[in-house]
Amino acid sequence: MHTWKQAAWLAGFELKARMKRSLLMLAFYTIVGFIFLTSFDNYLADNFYAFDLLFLLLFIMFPAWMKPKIFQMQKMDGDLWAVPAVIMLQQLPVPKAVIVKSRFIIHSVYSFPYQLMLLVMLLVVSPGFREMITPLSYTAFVTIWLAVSVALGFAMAASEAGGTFETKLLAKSMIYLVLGIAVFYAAFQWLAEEGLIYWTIGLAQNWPLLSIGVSLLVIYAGWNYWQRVMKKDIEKADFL
Amino acid sequence: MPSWIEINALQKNMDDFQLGPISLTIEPGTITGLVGNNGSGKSTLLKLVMNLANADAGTIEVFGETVAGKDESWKQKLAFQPQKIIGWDAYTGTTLKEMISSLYGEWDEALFEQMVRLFDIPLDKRFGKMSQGMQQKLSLALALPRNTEVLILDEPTAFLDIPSKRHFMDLLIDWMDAKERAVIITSHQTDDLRKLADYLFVMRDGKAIGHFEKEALLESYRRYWLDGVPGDSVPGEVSRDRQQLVSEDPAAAEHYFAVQNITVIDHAALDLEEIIDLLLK
Repeated sequence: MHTWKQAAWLAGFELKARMKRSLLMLAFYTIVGFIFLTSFDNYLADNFYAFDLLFLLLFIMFPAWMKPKIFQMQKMDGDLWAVPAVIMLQQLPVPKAVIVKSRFIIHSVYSFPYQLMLLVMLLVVSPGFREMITPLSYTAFVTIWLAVSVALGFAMAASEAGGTFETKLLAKSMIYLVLGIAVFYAAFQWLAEEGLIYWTIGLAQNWPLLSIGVSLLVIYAGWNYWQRVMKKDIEKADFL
Repeated sequence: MPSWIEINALQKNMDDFQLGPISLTIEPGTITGLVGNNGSGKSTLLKLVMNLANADAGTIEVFGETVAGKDESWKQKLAFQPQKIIGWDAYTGTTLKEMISSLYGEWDEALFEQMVRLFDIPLDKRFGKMSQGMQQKLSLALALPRNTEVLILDEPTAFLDIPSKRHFMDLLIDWMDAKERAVIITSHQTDDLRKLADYLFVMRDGKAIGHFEKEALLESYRRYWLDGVPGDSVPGEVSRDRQQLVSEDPAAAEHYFAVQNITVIDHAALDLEEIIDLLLK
Protein backbone atom coordinates (compact mmCIF):
# COMPACT_ATOMS: atom_id res chain seq x y z
CA MET A 1 0.00 0.00 0.00
CA HIS A 2 2.92 2.30 0.79
CA THR A 3 4.10 1.75 -2.80
CA TRP A 4 0.75 2.94 -4.20
CA LYS A 5 0.71 5.90 -1.81
CA GLN A 6 4.17 7.03 -2.91
CA ALA A 7 3.26 6.40 -6.56
CA ALA A 8 0.13 8.54 -6.22
CA TRP A 9 2.13 11.29 -4.52
CA LEU A 10 4.69 11.31 -7.36
CA ALA A 11 1.98 11.17 -10.04
CA GLY A 12 0.38 14.20 -8.41
CA PHE A 13 3.32 16.40 -9.41
CA GLU A 14 2.89 15.63 -13.10
CA LEU A 15 -0.90 15.88 -12.99
CA LYS A 16 -0.87 19.20 -11.12
CA ALA A 17 1.73 20.68 -13.47
CA ARG A 18 -0.75 20.72 -16.37
CA MET A 19 -4.10 20.71 -14.57
CA LYS A 20 -5.68 23.60 -16.54
CA ARG A 21 -4.61 22.11 -19.87
CA SER A 22 -6.03 18.73 -18.90
CA LEU A 23 -9.41 20.25 -18.05
CA LEU A 24 -9.43 22.09 -21.38
CA MET A 25 -8.59 18.83 -23.13
CA LEU A 26 -11.44 17.07 -21.36
CA ALA A 27 -13.80 19.78 -22.61
CA PHE A 28 -12.37 19.44 -26.15
CA TYR A 29 -12.71 15.65 -25.99
CA THR A 30 -16.31 15.99 -24.84
CA ILE A 31 -17.18 18.21 -27.82
CA VAL A 32 -15.40 15.94 -30.32
CA GLY A 33 -16.99 12.88 -28.72
CA PHE A 34 -20.44 14.48 -28.79
CA ILE A 35 -20.19 15.34 -32.49
CA PHE A 36 -18.87 11.88 -33.32
CA LEU A 37 -21.49 9.99 -31.31
CA THR A 38 -24.39 11.69 -33.11
CA SER A 39 -23.80 9.14 -35.88
CA PHE A 40 -24.20 6.20 -33.48
CA ASP A 41 -27.83 5.62 -34.44
CA ASN A 42 -26.75 5.29 -38.10
CA TYR A 43 -24.19 2.71 -36.97
CA LEU A 44 -26.84 0.73 -35.13
CA ALA A 45 -29.17 0.82 -38.12
CA ASP A 46 -26.73 0.24 -41.00
CA ASN A 47 -23.62 -1.32 -39.40
CA PHE A 48 -21.61 1.72 -40.50
CA TYR A 49 -18.37 -0.16 -39.82
CA ALA A 50 -15.83 2.68 -39.99
CA PHE A 51 -17.54 3.85 -36.81
CA ASP A 52 -15.92 1.03 -34.83
CA LEU A 53 -12.44 2.08 -35.86
CA LEU A 54 -13.09 5.73 -35.10
CA PHE A 55 -14.61 4.77 -31.76
CA LEU A 56 -11.54 2.66 -30.86
CA LEU A 57 -9.29 5.54 -31.86
CA LEU A 58 -11.24 7.98 -29.72
CA PHE A 59 -11.57 5.51 -26.84
CA ILE A 60 -8.06 4.01 -26.66
CA MET A 61 -5.63 6.33 -28.40
CA PHE A 62 -7.03 9.83 -27.98
CA PRO A 63 -6.72 10.04 -24.18
CA ALA A 64 -3.04 9.06 -24.35
CA TRP A 65 -2.42 11.60 -27.10
CA MET A 66 -4.03 14.27 -24.93
CA LYS A 67 -1.19 13.96 -22.47
CA PRO A 68 1.00 17.10 -22.68
CA LYS A 69 3.88 16.56 -25.11
CA ILE A 70 6.42 17.33 -22.41
CA PHE A 71 5.28 14.20 -20.52
CA GLN A 72 5.00 11.91 -23.57
CA MET A 73 7.50 9.43 -24.97
CA GLN A 74 10.33 11.29 -26.68
CA LYS A 75 13.40 10.49 -28.71
CA MET A 76 16.45 11.13 -26.57
CA ASP A 77 20.07 10.63 -27.59
CA GLY A 78 20.63 8.20 -30.46
CA ASP A 79 17.89 5.58 -30.70
CA LEU A 80 16.80 5.94 -27.08
CA TRP A 81 13.07 6.56 -26.65
CA ALA A 82 11.81 7.36 -23.17
CA VAL A 83 9.32 9.30 -21.11
CA PRO A 84 11.44 11.98 -19.37
CA ALA A 85 9.74 11.35 -16.02
CA VAL A 86 10.86 7.70 -16.04
CA ILE A 87 14.49 8.77 -16.40
CA MET A 88 14.10 11.52 -13.80
CA LEU A 89 12.62 9.17 -11.21
CA GLN A 90 15.26 6.52 -11.79
CA GLN A 91 17.92 9.04 -10.78
CA LEU A 92 16.13 9.54 -7.47
CA PRO A 93 15.65 7.04 -4.63
CA VAL A 94 12.38 5.78 -6.06
CA PRO A 95 11.96 2.00 -6.46
CA LYS A 96 11.11 0.79 -9.96
CA ALA A 97 7.83 -0.67 -8.70
CA VAL A 98 6.80 2.83 -7.57
CA ILE A 99 7.82 4.35 -10.92
CA VAL A 100 5.65 1.79 -12.73
CA LYS A 101 2.67 2.41 -10.47
CA SER A 102 2.97 6.20 -10.79
CA ARG A 103 2.94 5.88 -14.61
CA PHE A 104 -0.17 3.66 -14.36
CA ILE A 105 -1.92 6.17 -12.14
CA ILE A 106 -1.14 8.94 -14.62
CA HIS A 107 -2.33 6.84 -17.56
CA SER A 108 -5.52 6.03 -15.64
CA VAL A 109 -6.20 9.73 -15.04
CA TYR A 110 -5.68 10.42 -18.75
CA SER A 111 -7.88 7.46 -19.76
CA PHE A 112 -10.74 6.54 -17.46
CA PRO A 113 -12.45 9.95 -17.09
CA TYR A 114 -12.34 10.49 -20.87
CA GLN A 115 -13.54 6.96 -21.59
CA LEU A 116 -16.35 7.10 -19.04
CA MET A 117 -17.36 10.45 -20.50
CA LEU A 118 -17.61 8.84 -23.96
CA LEU A 119 -19.65 5.89 -22.66
CA VAL A 120 -22.04 8.18 -20.75
CA MET A 121 -22.40 10.43 -23.79
CA LEU A 122 -23.37 7.40 -25.85
CA LEU A 123 -26.36 6.98 -23.57
CA VAL A 124 -27.23 10.69 -23.72
CA VAL A 125 -26.80 11.18 -27.46
CA SER A 126 -28.30 7.97 -28.92
CA PRO A 127 -32.04 7.27 -28.44
CA GLY A 128 -31.54 3.94 -30.24
CA PHE A 129 -28.94 2.84 -27.71
CA ARG A 130 -31.13 3.93 -24.77
CA GLU A 131 -34.00 1.85 -26.09
CA MET A 132 -32.01 -1.34 -26.49
CA ILE A 133 -30.12 -1.34 -23.17
CA THR A 134 -31.19 -1.92 -19.54
CA PRO A 135 -29.29 -0.54 -16.51
CA LEU A 136 -27.69 -3.96 -15.88
CA SER A 137 -26.64 -4.48 -19.49
CA TYR A 138 -25.33 -0.90 -19.62
CA THR A 139 -23.18 -1.68 -16.55
CA ALA A 140 -21.92 -4.79 -18.34
CA PHE A 141 -21.27 -2.75 -21.51
CA VAL A 142 -19.23 -0.15 -19.58
CA THR A 143 -17.27 -2.90 -17.78
CA ILE A 144 -16.51 -4.64 -21.08
CA TRP A 145 -15.13 -1.43 -22.54
CA LEU A 146 -13.10 -0.65 -19.43
CA ALA A 147 -11.61 -4.13 -19.80
CA VAL A 148 -10.74 -3.26 -23.42
CA SER A 149 -9.15 -0.07 -22.13
CA VAL A 150 -6.95 -1.96 -19.65
CA ALA A 151 -6.10 -4.87 -21.95
CA LEU A 152 -5.20 -2.72 -24.95
CA GLY A 153 -4.78 0.85 -23.71
CA PHE A 154 -2.43 0.05 -20.85
CA ALA A 155 0.04 -1.42 -23.34
CA MET A 156 0.74 2.27 -23.99
CA ALA A 157 1.39 2.90 -20.29
CA ALA A 158 3.74 -0.09 -20.22
CA SER A 159 5.56 1.18 -23.30
CA GLU A 160 6.57 4.25 -21.27
CA ALA A 161 9.43 2.13 -19.95
CA GLY A 162 11.20 3.21 -23.12
CA GLY A 163 14.29 1.65 -24.60
CA THR A 164 16.53 1.67 -27.61
CA PHE A 165 14.58 1.26 -30.82
CA GLU A 166 15.83 1.84 -34.34
CA THR A 167 13.61 4.23 -36.28
CA LYS A 168 13.28 1.71 -39.15
CA LEU A 169 12.18 -0.99 -36.72
CA LEU A 170 9.66 1.38 -35.12
CA ALA A 171 8.21 2.29 -38.53
CA LYS A 172 7.97 -1.41 -39.43
CA SER A 173 6.24 -2.21 -36.12
CA MET A 174 3.72 0.57 -36.72
CA ILE A 175 2.95 -0.76 -40.22
CA TYR A 176 2.50 -4.29 -38.85
CA LEU A 177 0.28 -2.96 -36.07
CA VAL A 178 -1.97 -1.08 -38.50
CA LEU A 179 -2.09 -4.11 -40.83
CA GLY A 180 -2.84 -6.38 -37.86
CA ILE A 181 -5.73 -4.17 -36.75
CA ALA A 182 -7.08 -4.04 -40.32
CA VAL A 183 -6.92 -7.84 -40.70
CA PHE A 184 -8.50 -8.40 -37.26
CA TYR A 185 -11.24 -5.93 -38.01
CA ALA A 186 -12.01 -7.36 -41.46
CA ALA A 187 -12.06 -10.90 -40.03
CA PHE A 188 -14.29 -9.78 -37.18
CA GLN A 189 -16.79 -8.17 -39.55
CA TRP A 190 -16.76 -11.28 -41.72
CA LEU A 191 -17.19 -13.77 -38.85
CA ALA A 192 -19.53 -11.82 -36.57
CA GLU A 193 -21.38 -10.02 -39.38
CA GLU A 194 -21.63 -7.00 -37.14
CA GLY A 195 -19.41 -4.26 -35.72
CA LEU A 196 -17.34 -4.55 -32.57
CA ILE A 197 -19.47 -2.16 -30.51
CA TYR A 198 -22.65 -3.83 -31.67
CA TRP A 199 -21.19 -7.19 -30.70
CA THR A 200 -20.27 -5.95 -27.20
CA ILE A 201 -23.82 -4.57 -26.81
CA GLY A 202 -25.02 -8.07 -27.64
CA LEU A 203 -22.72 -9.59 -24.99
CA ALA A 204 -23.94 -7.09 -22.40
CA GLN A 205 -27.60 -7.76 -23.28
CA ASN A 206 -27.45 -11.56 -23.42
CA TRP A 207 -24.94 -12.38 -20.68
CA PRO A 208 -24.65 -9.28 -18.47
CA LEU A 209 -23.38 -10.99 -15.31
CA LEU A 210 -20.95 -13.24 -17.16
CA SER A 211 -19.71 -10.24 -19.15
CA ILE A 212 -19.14 -8.27 -15.95
CA GLY A 213 -17.31 -11.20 -14.32
CA VAL A 214 -15.07 -11.89 -17.32
CA SER A 215 -14.38 -8.17 -17.82
CA LEU A 216 -13.37 -7.73 -14.17
CA LEU A 217 -10.99 -10.68 -14.54
CA VAL A 218 -9.52 -9.12 -17.69
CA ILE A 219 -9.13 -5.78 -15.87
CA TYR A 220 -7.35 -7.49 -12.96
CA ALA A 221 -5.09 -9.59 -15.20
CA GLY A 222 -4.32 -6.76 -17.63
CA TRP A 223 -3.58 -4.27 -14.87
CA ASN A 224 -1.04 -6.64 -13.27
CA TYR A 225 0.36 -8.04 -16.52
CA TRP A 226 1.20 -4.65 -18.02
CA GLN A 227 2.83 -3.52 -14.76
CA ARG A 228 5.09 -6.58 -14.83
CA VAL A 229 5.91 -5.92 -18.49
CA MET A 230 6.81 -2.30 -17.76
CA LYS A 231 9.01 -3.17 -14.78
CA LYS A 232 10.88 -5.79 -16.82
CA ASP A 233 11.31 -3.34 -19.70
CA ILE A 234 12.71 -0.66 -17.36
CA GLU A 235 15.18 -3.20 -16.01
CA LYS A 236 16.22 -4.17 -19.54
CA ALA A 237 16.49 -0.65 -20.96
CA ASP A 238 19.73 1.29 -21.22
CA PHE A 239 19.04 4.95 -20.49
CA LEU A 240 22.34 6.17 -21.93
CA MET B 1 37.51 1.01 6.03
CA PRO B 2 35.64 -0.73 3.18
CA SER B 3 35.12 1.11 -0.10
CA TRP B 4 31.79 2.82 -0.60
CA ILE B 5 31.72 2.12 -4.30
CA GLU B 6 33.48 -0.82 -5.87
CA ILE B 7 33.56 -1.26 -9.63
CA ASN B 8 35.06 -4.50 -10.85
CA ALA B 9 36.02 -5.32 -14.44
CA LEU B 10 33.00 -3.40 -15.71
CA GLN B 11 32.26 -3.57 -19.42
CA LYS B 12 29.56 -2.11 -21.59
CA ASN B 13 29.33 -2.52 -25.33
CA MET B 14 27.42 -0.07 -27.46
CA ASP B 15 27.11 0.23 -31.24
CA ASP B 16 30.39 1.96 -31.93
CA PHE B 17 31.87 2.19 -28.45
CA GLN B 18 33.18 -0.17 -25.84
CA LEU B 19 33.56 0.87 -22.23
CA GLY B 20 35.97 -1.00 -20.03
CA PRO B 21 37.09 -3.16 -18.52
CA ILE B 22 37.00 -0.59 -15.71
CA SER B 23 37.88 -1.21 -12.08
CA LEU B 24 37.61 1.62 -9.60
CA THR B 25 37.00 2.02 -5.89
CA ILE B 26 35.70 5.08 -4.12
CA GLU B 27 36.79 5.54 -0.53
CA PRO B 28 35.04 7.67 2.08
CA GLY B 29 36.40 11.18 2.56
CA THR B 30 37.71 11.50 -0.99
CA ILE B 31 36.94 13.52 -4.10
CA THR B 32 37.62 11.61 -7.29
CA GLY B 33 37.80 13.44 -10.58
CA LEU B 34 36.88 11.47 -13.70
CA VAL B 35 38.99 12.85 -16.50
CA GLY B 36 38.96 12.02 -20.18
CA ASN B 37 38.45 13.31 -23.68
CA ASN B 38 34.95 13.75 -25.09
CA GLY B 39 33.34 10.37 -25.62
CA SER B 40 35.74 8.58 -23.29
CA GLY B 41 32.83 7.04 -21.39
CA LYS B 42 32.79 9.13 -18.20
CA SER B 43 29.05 9.83 -18.28
CA THR B 44 28.31 6.23 -19.31
CA LEU B 45 30.31 5.00 -16.32
CA LEU B 46 28.35 7.27 -13.95
CA LYS B 47 25.02 6.14 -15.45
CA LEU B 48 26.06 2.53 -14.96
CA VAL B 49 26.81 3.31 -11.31
CA MET B 50 23.29 4.74 -11.05
CA ASN B 51 21.94 1.55 -12.65
CA LEU B 52 20.48 3.50 -15.57
CA ALA B 53 21.93 0.88 -17.90
CA ASN B 54 22.94 -2.76 -17.69
CA ALA B 55 26.57 -3.81 -17.70
CA ASP B 56 27.65 -6.53 -20.13
CA ALA B 57 30.29 -7.80 -17.72
CA GLY B 58 31.67 -6.94 -14.30
CA THR B 59 29.97 -5.68 -11.16
CA ILE B 60 29.19 -2.43 -9.38
CA GLU B 61 28.62 -2.46 -5.65
CA VAL B 62 27.45 0.55 -3.68
CA PHE B 63 27.79 0.15 0.07
CA GLY B 64 28.03 -3.60 -0.46
CA GLU B 65 24.84 -3.82 -2.55
CA THR B 66 24.94 -4.80 -6.22
CA VAL B 67 23.30 -1.92 -8.07
CA ALA B 68 21.57 -4.30 -10.47
CA GLY B 69 20.05 -6.27 -7.59
CA LYS B 70 16.50 -6.23 -6.24
CA ASP B 71 17.35 -4.05 -3.23
CA GLU B 72 17.29 -0.43 -4.40
CA SER B 73 17.85 1.16 -0.98
CA TRP B 74 21.45 2.12 -1.93
CA LYS B 75 19.95 4.97 -3.98
CA GLN B 76 19.23 6.78 -0.70
CA LYS B 77 22.98 7.10 -0.24
CA LEU B 78 23.78 8.54 -3.66
CA ALA B 79 22.89 11.88 -5.19
CA PHE B 80 23.41 12.14 -8.93
CA GLN B 81 23.52 15.31 -10.95
CA PRO B 82 23.66 14.32 -14.63
CA GLN B 83 25.20 16.46 -17.34
CA LYS B 84 21.88 16.71 -19.16
CA ILE B 85 18.93 16.98 -16.83
CA ILE B 86 15.88 15.17 -18.15
CA GLY B 87 12.32 15.42 -16.92
CA TRP B 88 12.53 18.64 -14.94
CA ASP B 89 11.39 21.08 -17.64
CA ALA B 90 7.70 21.23 -16.67
CA TYR B 91 8.33 22.02 -13.01
CA THR B 92 9.23 25.15 -11.09
CA GLY B 93 12.13 25.20 -8.65
CA THR B 94 9.67 25.15 -5.77
CA THR B 95 7.94 22.01 -7.06
CA LEU B 96 11.24 20.26 -7.72
CA LYS B 97 12.39 21.11 -4.21
CA GLU B 98 9.14 19.77 -2.75
CA MET B 99 9.57 16.50 -4.66
CA ILE B 100 13.29 15.93 -4.14
CA SER B 101 13.53 17.07 -0.52
CA SER B 102 10.83 14.60 0.53
CA LEU B 103 12.79 11.69 -0.90
CA TYR B 104 15.89 12.26 1.22
CA GLY B 105 15.73 11.85 4.98
CA GLU B 106 18.77 14.08 5.61
CA TRP B 107 17.62 17.01 3.44
CA ASP B 108 19.31 20.25 4.58
CA GLU B 109 16.73 23.02 4.08
CA ALA B 110 19.07 25.73 5.42
CA LEU B 111 21.75 24.83 2.87
CA PHE B 112 19.17 24.84 0.08
CA GLU B 113 17.95 28.31 1.06
CA GLN B 114 21.53 29.54 1.35
CA MET B 115 22.30 28.30 -2.19
CA VAL B 116 19.11 29.81 -3.60
CA ARG B 117 20.09 33.19 -2.14
CA LEU B 118 23.72 32.90 -3.17
CA PHE B 119 22.90 31.94 -6.77
CA ASP B 120 19.82 34.15 -6.92
CA ILE B 121 17.64 31.33 -8.27
CA PRO B 122 14.05 32.24 -9.28
CA LEU B 123 12.21 29.31 -7.72
CA ASP B 124 8.87 30.25 -9.26
CA LYS B 125 10.18 29.90 -12.81
CA ARG B 126 9.82 26.67 -14.78
CA PHE B 127 13.08 24.74 -15.14
CA GLY B 128 12.64 24.56 -18.92
CA LYS B 129 12.40 28.37 -19.13
CA MET B 130 15.64 28.95 -17.22
CA SER B 131 19.00 29.65 -18.87
CA GLN B 132 21.51 26.78 -18.88
CA GLY B 133 23.52 28.50 -16.17
CA MET B 134 20.48 28.95 -13.94
CA GLN B 135 19.40 25.35 -14.55
CA GLN B 136 22.81 24.21 -13.40
CA LYS B 137 22.64 26.41 -10.30
CA LEU B 138 19.22 25.01 -9.40
CA SER B 139 20.32 21.42 -9.95
CA LEU B 140 23.33 22.00 -7.68
CA ALA B 141 21.08 23.61 -5.07
CA LEU B 142 18.96 20.46 -5.27
CA ALA B 143 21.96 18.11 -5.10
CA LEU B 144 24.15 19.20 -2.18
CA PRO B 145 21.33 19.52 0.41
CA ARG B 146 20.35 15.88 -0.13
CA ASN B 147 23.25 15.14 2.24
CA THR B 148 23.88 11.70 0.83
CA GLU B 149 27.09 9.87 1.58
CA VAL B 150 28.13 10.01 -2.07
CA LEU B 151 27.60 12.88 -4.48
CA ILE B 152 28.06 12.26 -8.20
CA LEU B 153 28.43 15.36 -10.33
CA ASP B 154 28.70 15.17 -14.12
CA GLU B 155 30.18 18.44 -15.41
CA PRO B 156 28.67 20.53 -12.60
CA THR B 157 30.36 23.82 -13.49
CA ALA B 158 30.21 23.79 -17.31
CA PHE B 159 27.69 26.65 -17.49
CA LEU B 160 28.47 28.53 -14.27
CA ASP B 161 29.81 32.07 -14.30
CA ILE B 162 33.11 32.71 -12.49
CA PRO B 163 31.68 33.98 -9.15
CA SER B 164 29.12 31.16 -9.02
CA LYS B 165 31.82 28.61 -9.72
CA ARG B 166 33.88 29.99 -6.83
CA HIS B 167 30.84 29.94 -4.51
CA PHE B 168 30.10 26.36 -5.51
CA MET B 169 33.69 25.23 -4.88
CA ASP B 170 33.62 26.78 -1.41
CA LEU B 171 30.27 25.17 -0.65
CA LEU B 172 31.45 21.79 -1.83
CA ILE B 173 34.60 21.96 0.29
CA ASP B 174 32.54 22.96 3.37
CA TRP B 175 30.09 20.17 2.58
CA MET B 176 32.92 17.63 2.44
CA ASP B 177 34.38 18.90 5.72
CA ALA B 178 31.07 18.63 7.60
CA LYS B 179 30.81 14.84 7.51
CA GLU B 180 32.50 11.80 6.03
CA ARG B 181 31.42 11.82 2.40
CA ALA B 182 32.71 11.08 -1.06
CA VAL B 183 32.36 12.95 -4.33
CA ILE B 184 32.82 11.75 -7.90
CA ILE B 185 33.10 14.62 -10.32
CA THR B 186 33.66 14.77 -14.06
CA SER B 187 35.04 17.98 -15.42
CA HIS B 188 36.97 19.36 -18.34
CA GLN B 189 37.93 22.34 -16.15
CA THR B 190 41.37 21.53 -14.77
CA ASP B 191 41.02 24.42 -12.31
CA ASP B 192 38.09 22.59 -10.68
CA LEU B 193 40.06 19.37 -10.50
CA ARG B 194 43.17 21.04 -9.14
CA LYS B 195 41.18 22.67 -6.35
CA LEU B 196 38.85 19.81 -5.51
CA ALA B 197 40.13 16.39 -6.46
CA ASP B 198 42.16 14.05 -4.27
CA TYR B 199 42.25 11.36 -6.92
CA LEU B 200 42.03 11.39 -10.69
CA PHE B 201 40.68 8.51 -12.71
CA VAL B 202 41.79 9.04 -16.27
CA MET B 203 39.95 7.48 -19.21
CA ARG B 204 40.55 7.47 -22.93
CA ASP B 205 38.21 5.95 -25.53
CA GLY B 206 36.41 3.86 -22.93
CA LYS B 207 39.57 2.47 -21.35
CA ALA B 208 41.10 3.30 -17.98
CA ILE B 209 44.50 4.99 -18.26
CA GLY B 210 45.06 5.04 -14.53
CA HIS B 211 43.84 5.98 -11.08
CA PHE B 212 46.20 8.56 -9.60
CA GLU B 213 46.57 10.37 -6.34
CA LYS B 214 46.56 13.97 -7.58
CA GLU B 215 49.53 15.30 -5.58
CA ALA B 216 51.63 12.27 -6.46
CA LEU B 217 50.69 12.71 -10.12
CA LEU B 218 51.72 16.37 -10.03
CA GLU B 219 55.08 15.44 -8.52
CA SER B 220 55.69 12.64 -10.94
CA TYR B 221 56.15 14.85 -14.00
CA ARG B 222 58.95 17.38 -14.49
CA ARG B 223 60.14 19.53 -17.35
CA TYR B 224 63.89 20.10 -17.81
CA TRP B 225 65.78 22.70 -19.81
CA LEU B 226 69.13 21.14 -20.69
CA ASP B 227 72.38 22.50 -22.05
CA GLY B 228 72.63 19.67 -24.54
CA VAL B 229 70.38 17.13 -26.22
CA PRO B 230 70.87 13.59 -24.91
CA GLY B 231 71.32 11.07 -27.67
CA ASP B 232 69.46 8.24 -25.95
CA SER B 233 66.04 8.18 -24.48
CA VAL B 234 65.99 9.65 -20.97
CA PRO B 235 64.30 7.56 -18.24
CA GLY B 236 60.64 8.40 -18.06
CA GLU B 237 60.84 10.64 -21.12
CA VAL B 238 57.40 11.48 -22.44
CA SER B 239 58.15 14.44 -24.69
CA ARG B 240 61.09 16.35 -26.09
CA ASP B 241 61.28 19.70 -27.84
CA ARG B 242 64.84 20.73 -28.72
CA GLN B 243 66.57 21.24 -25.33
CA GLN B 244 63.37 20.92 -23.39
CA LEU B 245 62.39 17.50 -22.06
CA VAL B 246 59.57 16.13 -19.92
CA SER B 247 60.04 13.03 -17.78
CA GLU B 248 57.49 11.09 -15.75
CA ASP B 249 60.31 9.69 -13.61
CA PRO B 250 62.19 12.75 -12.33
CA ALA B 251 64.48 10.86 -9.93
CA ALA B 252 65.69 8.47 -12.64
CA ALA B 253 65.98 11.30 -15.18
CA GLU B 254 68.06 13.45 -12.82
CA HIS B 255 70.33 10.48 -12.05
CA TYR B 256 70.74 9.95 -15.79
CA PHE B 257 71.63 13.63 -16.34
CA ALA B 258 74.26 13.44 -13.55
CA VAL B 259 75.81 10.26 -14.96
CA GLN B 260 75.79 11.64 -18.51
CA ASN B 261 77.17 15.03 -17.40
CA ILE B 262 74.20 16.87 -18.84
CA THR B 263 73.64 20.22 -17.15
CA VAL B 264 70.11 21.03 -16.15
CA ILE B 265 69.70 24.78 -16.77
CA ASP B 266 66.27 24.88 -15.17
CA HIS B 267 63.43 22.59 -14.22
CA ALA B 268 59.81 23.00 -13.26
CA ALA B 269 56.77 20.94 -12.37
CA LEU B 270 54.07 20.54 -15.00
CA ASP B 271 50.62 21.88 -14.34
CA LEU B 272 47.69 19.50 -14.18
CA GLU B 273 46.40 20.44 -17.61
CA GLU B 274 49.69 19.55 -19.25
CA ILE B 275 49.85 16.23 -17.41
CA ILE B 276 46.29 15.32 -18.42
CA ASP B 277 47.11 16.33 -21.96
CA LEU B 278 50.09 13.97 -21.94
CA LEU B 279 48.06 11.15 -20.43
CA LEU B 280 45.31 11.50 -23.01
CA LYS B 281 47.64 11.56 -26.04
